[in-house]
Amino acid sequence: MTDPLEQASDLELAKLAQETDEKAFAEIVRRYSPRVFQVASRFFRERSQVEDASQEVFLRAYTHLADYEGRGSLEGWLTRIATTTCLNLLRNVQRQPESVLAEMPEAEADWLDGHLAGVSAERHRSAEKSREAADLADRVLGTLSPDDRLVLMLVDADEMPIKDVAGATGWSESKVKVQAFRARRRMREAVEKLLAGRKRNPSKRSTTEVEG
Amino acid sequence: MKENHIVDLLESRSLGSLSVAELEMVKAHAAACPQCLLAYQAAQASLLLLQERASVVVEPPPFFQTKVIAAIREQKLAPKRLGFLNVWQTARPVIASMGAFVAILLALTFFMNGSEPPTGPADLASVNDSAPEWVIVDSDDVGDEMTYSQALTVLYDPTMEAGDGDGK
Repeated sequence: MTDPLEQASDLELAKLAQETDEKAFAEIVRRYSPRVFQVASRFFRERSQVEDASQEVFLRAYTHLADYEGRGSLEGWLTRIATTTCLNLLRNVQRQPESVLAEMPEAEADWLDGHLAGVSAERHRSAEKSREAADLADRVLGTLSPDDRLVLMLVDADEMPIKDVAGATGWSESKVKVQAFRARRRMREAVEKLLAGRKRNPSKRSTTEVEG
Repeated sequence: MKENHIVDLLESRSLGSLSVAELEMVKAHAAACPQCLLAYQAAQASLLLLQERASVVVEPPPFFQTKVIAAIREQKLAPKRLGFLNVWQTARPVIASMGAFVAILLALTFFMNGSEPPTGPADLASVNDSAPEWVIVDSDDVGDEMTYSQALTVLYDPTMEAGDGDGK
């Protein structure tokens, strides 16, 4: 027998949850935890951090349920809470100094070398290379401000429309554009330094097989 | 190309959002301009890094909703504890000032009484608790019927015989 709550609409669930029906809220959590985890994964890499952040998002959602009037989608409302909560949590995490970029592990350096040597996108995206790239991305993003990191992940990585990013963050569309412009510059400059460093030290270049 | 070559374009828009024509123009310029080549390579690498980072998604664990509901229940209890603490913190200065007021009153009572001469039997008794008055007043034999003046009469009236308390 199927649970009637599983058939209920988002609005019905929200109304029931507002009347302190825990089962209805549990159904909201079941339905939207993948989306909230996806948002939290943009900010944090460690499973425990993502899980803690997601839990915090749902706790905030529960305490602010009365604010949800059903005008927009529940998913959009939760995405906004997830974005702002994760951004605030990330602001409490100390930014890495730029010097950490110099202490790049060999695997990440290999990825950059492969990029400079023009390795094909397919090979660049093998599972192992993807992990190295994600590690390197975290290293670079860790030197940027949380706002820069957020806007780069949403606008450039997820290709979210500016309007949607504004909705998720609560910023104006012009602020999103300006923030993205500056964040791109800072990220490009950081990667440029890494690439320049690899070019200056060709002896340290990886022996990874590359395509011409 | 303007002074900034392709840099303005690379910063104002994501490389992935450029049209084919725009991308071709960027590539052609980068091939001829060593300074812009590095900027283009960096923009390309940045986009790839971001895309790889975005592909890392942590899935919710099973029973995550149970964990959230448990946390909500815990949170519901927490404000009560906080509420009690808040009441205590608010009341603490009031209670402290009340305590100080009572202490001042006690001190004043003690000093005021200390400066006045003893008047009543209790005061006399406090001066010398082995005085006859104290013995009479404190005696179980006297009972509630005997007044203070009667007690003085018993003690100091020379016409009455000792040991004949009822005057016979």
